[in-house]
Amino acid sequence: MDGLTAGFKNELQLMIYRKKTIFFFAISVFIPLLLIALFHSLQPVLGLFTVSPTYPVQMLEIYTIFLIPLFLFLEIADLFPQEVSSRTLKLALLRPITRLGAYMAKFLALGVAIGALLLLLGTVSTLCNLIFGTSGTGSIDAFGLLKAYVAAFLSMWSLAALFVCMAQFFRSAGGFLVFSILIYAGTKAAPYFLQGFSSFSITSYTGWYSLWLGHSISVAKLATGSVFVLSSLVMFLALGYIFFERKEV
Amino acid sequence: MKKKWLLTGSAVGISGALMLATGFTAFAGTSGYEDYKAALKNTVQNLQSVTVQADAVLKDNGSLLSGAQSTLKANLKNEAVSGTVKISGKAGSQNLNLYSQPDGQVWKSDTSDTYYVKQDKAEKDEQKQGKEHKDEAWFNSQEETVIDALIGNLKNEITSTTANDGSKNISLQLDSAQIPAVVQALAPVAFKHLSDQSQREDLQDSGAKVQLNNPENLFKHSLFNAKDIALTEGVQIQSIHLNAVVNPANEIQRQQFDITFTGKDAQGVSHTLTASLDVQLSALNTTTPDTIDLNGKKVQQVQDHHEGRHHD
Repeated sequence: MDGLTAGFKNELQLMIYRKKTIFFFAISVFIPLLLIALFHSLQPVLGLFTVSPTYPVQMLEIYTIFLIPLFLFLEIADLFPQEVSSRTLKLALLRPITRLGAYMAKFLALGVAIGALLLLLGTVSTLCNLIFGTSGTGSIDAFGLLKAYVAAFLSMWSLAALFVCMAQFFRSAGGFLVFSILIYAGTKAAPYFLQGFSSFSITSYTGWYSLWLGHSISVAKLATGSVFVLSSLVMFLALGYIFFERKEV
Repeated sequence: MKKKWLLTGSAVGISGALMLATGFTAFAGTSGYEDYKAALKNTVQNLQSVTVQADAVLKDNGSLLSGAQSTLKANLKNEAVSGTVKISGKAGSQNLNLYSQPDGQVWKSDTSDTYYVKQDKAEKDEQKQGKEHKDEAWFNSQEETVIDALIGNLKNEITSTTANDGSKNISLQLDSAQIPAVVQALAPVAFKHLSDQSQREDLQDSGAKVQLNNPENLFKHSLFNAKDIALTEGVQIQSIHLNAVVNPANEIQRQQFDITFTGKDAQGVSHTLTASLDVQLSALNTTTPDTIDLNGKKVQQVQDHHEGRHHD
Protein backbone atom coordinates (compact mmCIF):
# COMPACT_ATOMS: atom_id res chain seq x y z
CA MET A 1 0.00 0.00 0.00
CA ASP A 2 2.91 2.35 -0.68
CA GLY A 3 0.80 4.06 -3.27
CA LEU A 4 -1.85 4.88 -0.72
CA THR A 5 0.55 6.50 1.76
CA ALA A 6 2.22 8.52 -0.96
CA GLY A 7 -1.13 9.49 -2.47
CA PHE A 8 -2.45 10.47 0.94
CA LYS A 9 0.55 12.72 1.61
CA ASN A 10 0.18 14.17 -1.85
CA GLU A 11 -3.50 14.98 -1.36
CA LEU A 12 -2.86 16.60 2.01
CA GLN A 13 -0.13 18.76 0.54
CA LEU A 14 -2.37 19.73 -2.35
CA MET A 15 -5.07 20.71 0.13
CA ILE A 16 -2.67 22.97 1.99
CA TYR A 17 -1.47 24.55 -1.24
CA ARG A 18 -5.01 25.47 -2.20
CA LYS A 19 -5.60 28.96 -0.90
CA LYS A 20 -9.27 28.37 -0.15
CA THR A 21 -8.50 25.65 2.41
CA ILE A 22 -6.20 27.93 4.35
CA PHE A 23 -8.66 30.79 3.92
CA PHE A 24 -11.50 28.66 5.26
CA PHE A 25 -9.45 27.63 8.29
CA ALA A 26 -8.49 31.25 8.95
CA ILE A 27 -12.11 32.37 8.83
CA SER A 28 -13.16 29.49 11.07
CA VAL A 29 -10.86 30.79 13.78
CA PHE A 30 -12.83 34.02 13.82
CA ILE A 31 -16.30 32.54 13.64
CA PRO A 32 -16.70 31.77 17.38
CA LEU A 33 -15.36 35.26 18.10
CA LEU A 34 -17.69 36.84 15.54
CA LEU A 35 -20.65 35.05 17.08
CA ILE A 36 -19.78 36.42 20.51
CA ALA A 37 -19.51 39.92 19.03
CA LEU A 38 -22.86 39.39 17.33
CA PHE A 39 -24.53 38.36 20.57
CA HIS A 40 -23.05 41.37 22.30
CA SER A 41 -24.32 43.79 19.68
CA LEU A 42 -27.76 42.17 19.81
CA GLN A 43 -27.86 42.60 23.57
CA PRO A 44 -30.52 45.36 23.53
CA VAL A 45 -32.85 43.02 21.65
CA LEU A 46 -31.95 39.62 22.96
CA GLY A 47 -30.66 40.32 26.40
CA LEU A 48 -27.28 39.00 27.38
CA PHE A 49 -26.34 35.69 25.85
CA THR A 50 -24.09 33.83 28.20
CA VAL A 51 -20.80 32.34 27.18
CA SER A 52 -20.54 29.38 29.50
CA PRO A 53 -18.50 26.18 29.60
CA THR A 54 -21.11 24.63 27.31
CA TYR A 55 -20.31 27.16 24.58
CA PRO A 56 -18.19 24.67 22.55
CA VAL A 57 -21.13 22.24 22.43
CA GLN A 58 -23.74 24.90 21.71
CA MET A 59 -21.68 26.24 18.84
CA LEU A 60 -21.15 22.73 17.50
CA GLU A 61 -24.72 22.93 16.23
CA ILE A 62 -23.85 25.87 14.00
CA TYR A 63 -20.61 24.25 12.87
CA THR A 64 -22.17 20.95 11.87
CA ILE A 65 -25.18 22.45 10.12
CA PHE A 66 -23.52 25.22 8.09
CA LEU A 67 -19.80 25.56 8.38
CA ILE A 68 -18.44 22.05 7.98
CA PRO A 69 -20.85 20.96 5.21
CA LEU A 70 -19.86 24.06 3.22
CA PHE A 71 -16.22 23.24 3.78
CA LEU A 72 -16.90 19.68 2.63
CA PHE A 73 -18.57 20.75 -0.60
CA LEU A 74 -15.69 23.09 -1.43
CA GLU A 75 -13.06 20.43 -0.80
CA ILE A 76 -14.92 17.64 -2.58
CA ALA A 77 -15.43 19.90 -5.58
CA ASP A 78 -11.68 20.38 -5.71
CA LEU A 79 -10.85 16.73 -5.09
CA PHE A 80 -13.01 15.18 -7.79
CA PRO A 81 -14.77 17.32 -10.45
CA GLN A 82 -12.02 19.93 -10.52
CA GLU A 83 -9.34 17.29 -11.06
CA VAL A 84 -11.37 15.74 -13.86
CA SER A 85 -11.96 19.01 -15.66
CA SER A 86 -8.37 20.20 -15.34
CA ARG A 87 -7.15 16.70 -16.34
CA THR A 88 -4.85 16.40 -13.35
CA LEU A 89 -6.58 13.21 -12.27
CA LYS A 90 -5.17 11.52 -15.38
CA LEU A 91 -1.69 12.55 -14.31
CA ALA A 92 -2.22 11.25 -10.82
CA LEU A 93 -3.40 7.89 -12.15
CA LEU A 94 -0.26 7.55 -14.27
CA ARG A 95 1.70 7.15 -11.07
CA PRO A 96 2.16 3.70 -9.57
CA ILE A 97 -1.09 3.84 -7.63
CA THR A 98 -4.26 1.85 -8.06
CA ARG A 99 -7.59 3.59 -8.55
CA LEU A 100 -8.64 2.34 -5.16
CA GLY A 101 -5.47 3.85 -3.67
CA ALA A 102 -6.08 7.22 -5.32
CA TYR A 103 -9.73 7.20 -4.23
CA MET A 104 -9.00 6.23 -0.63
CA ALA A 105 -6.15 8.76 -0.41
CA LYS A 106 -8.57 11.53 -1.32
CA PHE A 107 -11.19 10.34 1.13
CA LEU A 108 -8.70 9.95 3.98
CA ALA A 109 -7.27 13.41 3.34
CA LEU A 110 -10.82 14.75 3.49
CA GLY A 111 -11.29 13.04 6.85
CA VAL A 112 -8.10 14.58 8.19
CA ALA A 113 -9.21 18.01 7.01
CA ILE A 114 -12.61 17.67 8.71
CA GLY A 115 -10.94 16.47 11.89
CA ALA A 116 -8.50 19.38 11.85
CA LEU A 117 -11.29 21.89 11.28
CA LEU A 118 -13.36 20.46 14.14
CA LEU A 119 -10.35 20.45 16.42
CA LEU A 120 -9.62 24.06 15.55
CA LEU A 121 -13.22 25.16 16.11
CA GLY A 122 -13.39 23.25 19.40
CA THR A 123 -10.16 24.78 20.64
CA VAL A 124 -11.17 28.32 19.71
CA SER A 125 -14.60 27.94 21.33
CA THR A 126 -13.03 26.60 24.49
CA LEU A 127 -10.60 29.51 24.57
CA CYS A 128 -13.52 31.89 24.02
CA ASN A 129 -15.18 30.46 27.09
CA LEU A 130 -11.99 30.87 29.14
CA ILE A 131 -11.60 34.49 28.07
CA PHE A 132 -15.17 35.81 27.77
CA GLY A 133 -17.05 33.24 29.84
CA THR A 134 -19.06 34.16 32.90
CA SER A 135 -17.58 32.35 35.86
CA GLY A 136 -19.66 29.95 37.85
CA THR A 137 -22.16 29.09 35.17
CA GLY A 138 -22.46 25.33 35.04
CA SER A 139 -19.87 23.01 33.71
CA ILE A 140 -19.40 20.20 31.27
CA ASP A 141 -16.97 17.37 31.66
CA ALA A 142 -14.14 17.18 29.18
CA PHE A 143 -14.95 13.57 28.36
CA GLY A 144 -18.50 14.47 27.35
CA LEU A 145 -17.16 17.25 25.17
CA LEU A 146 -14.73 14.87 23.50
CA LYS A 147 -17.48 12.33 22.86
CA ALA A 148 -19.66 15.00 21.27
CA TYR A 149 -16.88 16.15 18.97
CA VAL A 150 -15.95 12.61 17.95
CA ALA A 151 -19.61 11.85 17.19
CA ALA A 152 -19.84 15.08 15.18
CA PHE A 153 -16.70 14.05 13.27
CA LEU A 154 -18.19 10.67 12.38
CA SER A 155 -21.42 12.14 11.10
CA MET A 156 -19.53 14.76 9.07
CA TRP A 157 -17.25 12.16 7.52
CA SER A 158 -20.28 10.06 6.66
CA LEU A 159 -21.87 13.10 5.05
CA ALA A 160 -18.63 13.55 3.12
CA ALA A 161 -18.93 9.99 1.77
CA LEU A 162 -22.42 10.73 0.44
CA PHE A 163 -21.23 13.82 -1.42
CA VAL A 164 -18.06 12.11 -2.69
CA CYS A 165 -20.37 9.55 -4.25
CA MET A 166 -22.46 12.29 -5.86
CA ALA A 167 -19.37 14.14 -7.05
CA GLN A 168 -18.55 11.24 -9.40
CA PHE A 169 -21.35 12.39 -11.70
CA PHE A 170 -19.94 15.88 -12.19
CA ARG A 171 -17.28 17.19 -14.48
CA SER A 172 -17.31 20.78 -13.31
CA ALA A 173 -16.60 22.03 -9.81
CA GLY A 174 -19.12 24.88 -9.98
CA GLY A 175 -21.95 22.59 -11.06
CA PHE A 176 -21.24 20.18 -8.24
CA LEU A 177 -21.03 22.99 -5.68
CA VAL A 178 -24.42 24.44 -6.59
CA PHE A 179 -26.03 21.03 -6.85
CA SER A 180 -24.67 19.80 -3.52
CA ILE A 181 -25.81 22.90 -1.65
CA LEU A 182 -29.29 22.50 -3.15
CA ILE A 183 -29.41 18.79 -2.33
CA TYR A 184 -28.22 19.45 1.21
CA ALA A 185 -30.83 22.16 1.77
CA GLY A 186 -33.47 19.90 0.24
CA THR A 187 -32.68 16.94 2.48
CA LYS A 188 -32.65 19.28 5.46
CA ALA A 189 -36.13 20.56 4.58
CA ALA A 190 -37.63 17.21 3.58
CA PRO A 191 -38.39 15.99 7.14
CA TYR A 192 -40.82 18.90 7.42
CA PHE A 193 -42.92 17.42 4.62
CA LEU A 194 -42.27 13.70 4.72
CA GLN A 195 -42.75 11.70 7.83
CA GLY A 196 -40.03 9.18 8.48
CA PHE A 197 -37.59 10.71 6.03
CA SER A 198 -35.21 11.69 8.79
CA SER A 199 -34.81 8.06 9.88
CA PHE A 200 -33.19 7.21 6.56
CA SER A 201 -31.28 10.37 5.79
CA ILE A 202 -27.70 10.90 6.87
CA THR A 203 -28.20 14.67 6.69
CA SER A 204 -30.53 14.39 9.70
CA TYR A 205 -27.61 13.13 11.72
CA THR A 206 -25.72 16.42 11.83
CA GLY A 207 -27.06 17.05 15.33
CA TRP A 208 -26.48 13.45 16.31
CA TYR A 209 -23.67 14.31 18.74
CA SER A 210 -26.17 15.68 21.26
CA LEU A 211 -27.28 12.12 22.04
CA TRP A 212 -23.83 11.42 23.42
CA LEU A 213 -24.20 14.15 26.01
CA GLY A 214 -27.29 12.67 27.65
CA HIS A 215 -27.51 10.32 30.55
CA SER A 216 -30.91 8.94 29.72
CA ILE A 217 -30.15 7.56 26.26
CA SER A 218 -30.31 3.80 26.05
CA VAL A 219 -27.23 1.98 24.76
CA ALA A 220 -29.35 0.36 22.04
CA LYS A 221 -30.23 3.77 20.59
CA LEU A 222 -26.62 4.89 20.54
CA ALA A 223 -25.66 1.56 18.94
CA THR A 224 -28.27 1.77 16.15
CA GLY A 225 -27.29 5.38 15.53
CA SER A 226 -23.62 4.48 15.28
CA VAL A 227 -24.31 1.53 12.99
CA PHE A 228 -26.42 3.77 10.75
CA VAL A 229 -23.75 6.43 10.48
CA LEU A 230 -20.96 3.92 9.87
CA SER A 231 -22.87 1.76 7.41
CA SER A 232 -23.91 4.83 5.46
CA LEU A 233 -20.27 5.86 5.35
CA VAL A 234 -19.21 2.46 4.00
CA MET A 235 -22.06 2.21 1.52
CA PHE A 236 -21.59 5.60 -0.12
CA LEU A 237 -17.83 5.15 -0.08
CA ALA A 238 -18.13 1.81 -1.90
CA LEU A 239 -20.79 3.14 -4.29
CA GLY A 240 -18.61 6.13 -5.04
CA TYR A 241 -15.71 3.82 -5.73
CA ILE A 242 -17.75 1.81 -8.23
CA PHE A 243 -18.44 5.01 -10.18
CA PHE A 244 -14.85 6.25 -9.78
CA GLU A 245 -13.52 2.93 -11.07
CA ARG A 246 -15.57 3.11 -14.28
CA LYS A 247 -14.88 6.75 -14.91
CA GLU A 248 -13.14 7.73 -18.15
CA VAL A 249 -10.53 10.32 -17.35
CA MET B 1 -11.03 -8.38 -11.44
CA LYS B 2 -14.10 -10.42 -10.59
CA LYS B 3 -13.00 -10.67 -6.98
CA LYS B 4 -12.78 -6.89 -6.69
CA TRP B 5 -16.30 -6.43 -8.00
CA LEU B 6 -17.54 -9.04 -5.59
CA LEU B 7 -15.86 -7.19 -2.74
CA THR B 8 -17.18 -3.73 -3.51
CA GLY B 9 -20.57 -5.12 -4.43
CA SER B 10 -20.91 -6.96 -1.15
CA ALA B 11 -19.68 -3.91 0.75
CA VAL B 12 -22.47 -1.87 -0.83
CA GLY B 13 -25.01 -4.64 -0.23
CA ILE B 14 -24.17 -5.36 3.38
CA SER B 15 -23.83 -1.73 4.46
CA GLY B 16 -26.96 -0.80 2.53
CA ALA B 17 -28.90 -3.53 4.30
CA LEU B 18 -27.52 -2.41 7.66
CA MET B 19 -28.49 1.16 6.87
CA LEU B 20 -32.03 0.17 5.97
CA ALA B 21 -32.33 -2.04 9.05
CA THR B 22 -31.15 0.64 11.48
CA GLY B 23 -33.22 3.24 9.62
CA PHE B 24 -36.33 1.13 10.11
CA THR B 25 -35.43 0.57 13.75
CA ALA B 26 -35.29 4.31 14.23
CA PHE B 27 -38.45 4.82 12.18
CA ALA B 28 -40.59 2.21 13.90
CA GLY B 29 -38.94 2.55 17.29
CA THR B 30 -41.44 2.91 20.11
CA SER B 31 -39.75 5.81 21.79
CA GLY B 32 -41.17 7.68 24.74
CA TYR B 33 -41.95 10.47 22.33
CA GLU B 34 -44.34 8.30 20.31
CA ASP B 35 -45.96 7.01 23.49
CA TYR B 36 -46.50 10.52 24.73
CA LYS B 37 -47.89 11.72 21.42
CA ALA B 38 -50.36 8.82 21.31
CA ALA B 39 -51.49 9.50 24.88
CA LEU B 40 -51.83 13.22 24.27
CA LYS B 41 -53.90 12.66 21.13
CA ASN B 42 -56.09 10.15 22.91
CA THR B 43 -56.61 12.48 25.87
CA VAL B 44 -57.36 15.57 23.84
CA GLN B 45 -59.69 13.83 21.41
CA ASN B 46 -61.92 12.29 24.02
CA LEU B 47 -61.79 15.06 26.56
CA GLN B 48 -65.11 16.62 27.48
CA SER B 49 -64.76 17.48 31.11
CA VAL B 50 -61.94 17.18 33.58
CA THR B 51 -60.82 18.03 37.08
CA VAL B 52 -57.41 19.62 37.09
CA GLN B 53 -55.25 19.88 40.14
CA ALA B 54 -52.29 22.12 39.52
CA ASP B 55 -49.42 23.12 41.77
CA ALA B 56 -46.99 25.78 40.66
CA VAL B 57 -43.95 26.70 42.71
CA LEU B 58 -41.24 29.25 42.09
CA LYS B 59 -38.14 29.01 44.22
CA ASP B 60 -35.11 31.23 44.46
CA ASN B 61 -31.98 29.61 45.87
CA GLY B 62 -34.21 27.04 47.52
CA SER B 63 -36.50 29.49 49.31
CA LEU B 64 -40.08 29.84 48.21
CA LEU B 65 -40.86 32.95 46.18
CA SER B 66 -44.42 32.11 45.38
CA GLY B 67 -46.68 29.18 44.95
CA ALA B 68 -50.11 28.51 43.62
CA GLN B 69 -52.35 25.58 44.26
CA SER B 70 -55.50 25.23 42.32
CA THR B 71 -58.31 22.83 41.73
CA LEU B 72 -60.32 23.47 38.64
CA LYS B 73 -63.31 21.69 37.25
CA ALA B 74 -63.79 22.29 33.59
CA ASN B 75 -66.31 21.29 31.00
CA LEU B 76 -65.02 21.89 27.53
CA LYS B 77 -68.37 21.49 25.82
CA ASN B 78 -70.19 24.40 27.43
CA GLU B 79 -66.95 26.10 28.45
CA ALA B 80 -67.79 26.25 32.12
CA VAL B 81 -64.98 26.32 34.65
CA SER B 82 -65.14 26.50 38.41
CA GLY B 83 -62.53 26.14 41.04
CA THR B 84 -60.37 27.54 43.77
CA VAL B 85 -56.91 28.99 43.58
CA LYS B 86 -54.65 29.49 46.56
CA ILE B 87 -51.77 31.82 45.99
CA SER B 88 -49.02 32.11 48.51
CA GLY B 89 -46.02 34.30 48.30
CA LYS B 90 -43.89 36.71 50.22
CA ALA B 91 -46.89 39.03 50.59
CA GLY B 92 -48.97 36.36 52.32
CA SER B 93 -51.51 33.99 50.92
CA GLN B 94 -54.89 34.43 49.33
CA ASN B 95 -57.74 32.17 48.43
CA LEU B 96 -59.73 32.83 45.32
CA ASN B 97 -62.90 31.22 44.10
CA LEU B 98 -63.63 31.53 40.46
CA TYR B 99 -66.41 30.59 38.16
CA SER B 100 -66.27 30.97 34.45
CA GLN B 101 -69.38 30.55 32.36
CA PRO B 102 -69.86 31.18 28.68
CA ASP B 103 -71.17 34.68 29.36
CA GLY B 104 -68.54 35.88 31.77
CA GLN B 105 -66.24 35.28 34.67
CA VAL B 106 -66.82 35.66 38.41
CA TRP B 107 -64.13 35.97 41.07
CA LYS B 108 -64.39 36.12 44.79
CA SER B 109 -61.60 36.43 47.30
CA ASP B 110 -61.92 34.78 50.71
CA THR B 111 -61.20 38.06 52.44
CA SER B 112 -64.19 39.97 51.09
CA ASP B 113 -67.81 39.36 50.20
CA THR B 114 -67.67 41.12 46.86
CA TYR B 115 -68.09 39.15 43.70
CA TYR B 116 -66.22 40.57 40.76
CA VAL B 117 -67.90 39.97 37.45
CA LYS B 118 -66.35 40.42 34.07
CA GLN B 119 -68.45 40.04 30.98
CA ASP B 120 -66.56 39.24 27.85
CA LYS B 121 -68.86 37.74 25.32
CA ALA B 122 -66.92 38.86 22.30
CA GLU B 123 -63.62 37.62 23.59
CA LYS B 124 -65.10 34.24 24.34
CA ASP B 125 -66.26 33.84 20.80
CA GLU B 126 -62.81 34.55 19.60
CA GLN B 127 -61.38 32.06 22.00
CA LYS B 128 -63.86 29.47 20.91
CA GLN B 129 -62.87 29.84 17.32
CA GLY B 130 -59.24 29.65 18.20
CA LYS B 131 -59.84 26.54 20.18
CA GLU B 132 -61.66 24.70 17.44
CA HIS B 133 -58.80 25.56 15.22
CA LYS B 134 -56.39 24.07 17.67
CA ASP B 135 -58.41 20.90 18.01
CA GLU B 136 -58.33 20.42 14.30
CA ALA B 137 -54.61 20.85 14.35
CA TRP B 138 -54.28 17.77 16.47
CA PHE B 139 -55.58 15.66 13.66
CA ASN B 140 -53.50 17.38 11.05
CA SER B 141 -50.71 15.04 10.14
CA GLN B 142 -48.81 17.73 8.25
CA GLU B 143 -48.36 19.77 11.40
CA GLU B 144 -47.40 16.64 13.24
CA THR B 145 -44.65 16.05 10.68
CA VAL B 146 -43.38 19.59 11.19
CA ILE B 147 -43.35 19.20 14.96
CA ASP B 148 -41.58 15.86 14.63
CA ALA B 149 -38.94 17.47 12.44
CA LEU B 150 -38.48 20.37 14.84
CA ILE B 151 -38.00 18.05 17.77
CA GLY B 152 -35.56 16.05 15.70
CA ASN B 153 -32.94 14.23 17.70
CA LEU B 154 -34.42 15.34 21.01
CA LYS B 155 -37.08 12.68 20.68
CA ASN B 156 -34.45 10.06 21.35
CA GLU B 157 -33.88 11.53 24.79
CA ILE B 158 -37.44 10.87 25.89
CA THR B 159 -37.65 7.65 27.84
CA SER B 160 -40.67 5.56 28.64
CA THR B 161 -41.01 2.90 31.30
CA THR B 162 -44.06 0.75 31.70
CA ALA B 163 -45.16 -0.33 35.16
CA ASN B 164 -46.78 -3.65 36.03
CA ASP B 165 -50.30 -2.22 35.96
CA GLY B 166 -49.84 -0.95 32.41
CA SER B 167 -49.32 2.71 33.27
CA LYS B 168 -46.39 4.45 31.69
CA ASN B 169 -43.92 6.93 33.02
CA ILE B 170 -42.50 9.15 30.30
CA SER B 171 -39.70 11.54 31.08
CA LEU B 172 -37.26 13.91 29.48
CA GLN B 173 -34.21 15.26 31.25
CA LEU B 174 -32.03 17.85 29.58
CA ASP B 175 -28.88 19.46 30.93
CA SER B 176 -27.56 22.79 29.79
CA ALA B 177 -25.30 21.29 27.14
CA GLN B 178 -28.15 19.35 25.56
CA ILE B 179 -30.57 22.23 25.36
CA PRO B 180 -30.62 23.52 21.78
CA ALA B 181 -28.82 26.83 21.36
CA VAL B 182 -32.01 28.48 20.11
CA VAL B 183 -33.91 27.61 23.28
CA GLN B 184 -30.94 28.56 25.41
CA ALA B 185 -30.78 31.96 23.70
CA LEU B 186 -34.43 32.56 24.58
CA ALA B 187 -33.77 32.44 28.32
CA PRO B 188 -32.09 35.87 28.51
CA VAL B 189 -34.85 37.30 26.28
CA ALA B 190 -37.52 36.15 28.71
CA PHE B 191 -35.72 37.69 31.68
CA LYS B 192 -35.09 40.90 29.82
CA HIS B 193 -38.79 41.11 29.07
CA LEU B 194 -39.63 40.50 32.74
CA SER B 195 -37.33 43.22 34.00
CA ASP B 196 -38.66 45.69 31.42
CA GLN B 197 -42.17 44.89 32.53
CA SER B 198 -41.39 45.38 36.20
CA GLN B 199 -39.90 48.78 35.44
CA ARG B 200 -43.02 49.80 33.61
CA GLU B 201 -45.21 48.62 36.47
CA ASP B 202 -43.10 50.56 38.92
CA LEU B 203 -43.87 53.71 37.01
CA GLN B 204 -47.56 52.96 37.10
CA ASP B 205 -47.55 51.98 40.74
CA SER B 206 -46.01 55.24 41.83
CA GLY B 207 -48.81 57.09 40.06
CA ALA B 208 -51.80 55.47 41.71
CA LYS B 209 -52.17 53.36 44.80
CA VAL B 210 -52.78 49.81 43.82
CA GLN B 211 -56.12 48.42 44.69
CA LEU B 212 -55.35 45.04 46.12
CA ASN B 213 -59.00 44.13 46.32
CA ASN B 214 -59.23 43.76 42.61
CA PRO B 215 -58.42 40.14 41.92
CA GLU B 216 -56.33 40.89 38.88
CA ASN B 217 -54.02 43.13 40.81
CA LEU B 218 -53.92 40.60 43.54
CA PHE B 219 -52.89 37.94 41.10
CA LYS B 220 -50.17 40.11 39.74
CA HIS B 221 -48.77 41.15 43.07
CA SER B 222 -48.79 38.01 45.10
CA LEU B 223 -47.87 35.63 42.35
CA PHE B 224 -44.40 37.07 42.22
CA ASN B 225 -42.72 40.37 42.05
CA ALA B 226 -40.85 40.49 38.78
CA LYS B 227 -38.10 42.51 40.41
CA ASP B 228 -37.22 39.57 42.63
CA ILE B 229 -36.20 37.46 39.72
CA ALA B 230 -34.74 40.10 37.44
CA LEU B 231 -31.52 38.34 36.53
CA THR B 232 -29.33 40.44 34.34
CA GLU B 233 -26.11 38.58 33.79
CA GLY B 234 -25.16 35.07 32.84
CA VAL B 235 -28.72 33.90 32.47
CA GLN B 236 -28.84 30.29 31.44
CA ILE B 237 -31.19 27.36 31.50
CA GLN B 238 -29.46 24.79 33.61
CA SER B 239 -31.88 21.94 33.27
CA ILE B 240 -35.29 21.04 31.98
CA HIS B 241 -37.17 18.09 33.33
CA LEU B 242 -40.46 16.80 32.00
CA ASN B 243 -42.34 13.90 33.42
CA ALA B 244 -45.70 12.46 32.50
CA VAL B 245 -47.73 9.59 33.85
CA VAL B 246 -50.04 7.86 31.42
CA ASN B 247 -52.67 5.52 32.80
CA PRO B 248 -53.48 2.09 31.32
CA ALA B 249 -56.35 3.65 29.32
CA ASN B 250 -53.68 5.72 27.56
CA GLU B 251 -54.81 8.99 29.10
CA ILE B 252 -52.42 11.50 30.58
CA GLN B 253 -52.88 11.50 34.30
CA ARG B 254 -50.10 13.64 35.54
CA GLN B 255 -47.75 16.10 34.00
CA GLN B 256 -44.74 17.57 35.78
CA PHE B 257 -42.45 20.22 34.47
CA ASP B 258 -39.35 21.64 36.13
CA ILE B 259 -37.00 24.24 34.80
CA THR B 260 -33.94 25.66 36.50
CA PHE B 261 -32.30 28.94 35.60
CA THR B 262 -29.01 30.25 36.86
CA GLY B 263 -27.78 33.79 36.65
CA LYS B 264 -26.76 36.89 38.52
CA ASP B 265 -28.83 39.92 39.43
CA ALA B 266 -27.78 43.53 39.07
CA GLN B 267 -25.87 43.37 42.37
CA GLY B 268 -23.83 40.41 41.21
CA VAL B 269 -25.48 37.91 43.53
CA SER B 270 -25.96 34.56 41.87
CA HIS B 271 -29.39 33.01 41.86
CA THR B 272 -30.75 29.61 41.07
CA LEU B 273 -34.38 29.89 40.11
CA THR B 274 -36.50 26.80 39.98
CA ALA B 275 -39.96 26.81 38.53
CA SER B 276 -42.02 23.68 38.77
CA LEU B 277 -45.48 22.82 37.68
CA ASP B 278 -47.34 19.69 38.66
CA VAL B 279 -50.66 19.07 36.96
CA GLN B 280 -52.89 16.16 37.77
CA LEU B 281 -55.92 15.27 35.73
CA SER B 282 -58.71 13.24 37.24
CA ALA B 283 -62.39 12.44 36.76
CA LEU B 284 -62.04 12.58 33.00
CA ASN B 285 -65.42 13.13 31.36
CA THR B 286 -67.24 12.76 34.69
CA THR B 287 -66.70 16.28 36.04
CA THR B 288 -69.48 18.81 36.47
CA PRO B 289 -68.33 22.37 37.19
CA ASP B 290 -70.10 24.23 40.00
CA THR B 291 -72.24 27.19 39.13
CA ILE B 292 -72.93 30.30 41.17
CA ASP B 293 -76.10 32.25 41.69
CA LEU B 294 -75.29 35.94 42.03
CA ASN B 295 -78.78 36.96 43.16
CA GLY B 296 -78.67 39.01 46.36
CA LYS B 297 -74.91 39.17 46.52
CA LYS B 298 -72.58 42.14 46.38
CA VAL B 299 -71.42 42.37 42.78
CA GLN B 300 -68.90 44.66 41.17
CA GLN B 301 -68.41 44.84 37.45
CA VAL B 302 -64.81 44.82 36.28
CA GLN B 303 -63.95 46.75 33.17
CA ASP B 304 -61.31 45.49 30.86
CA HIS B 305 -58.66 48.11 31.43
CA HIS B 306 -55.92 46.24 29.66
CA GLU B 307 -56.93 47.25 26.22
CA GLY B 308 -55.08 50.52 26.00
CA ARG B 309 -51.91 49.16 27.39
CA HIS B 310 -50.85 47.03 24.51
CA HIS B 311 -50.60 50.03 22.29
CA ASP B 312 -48.48 52.33 24.40
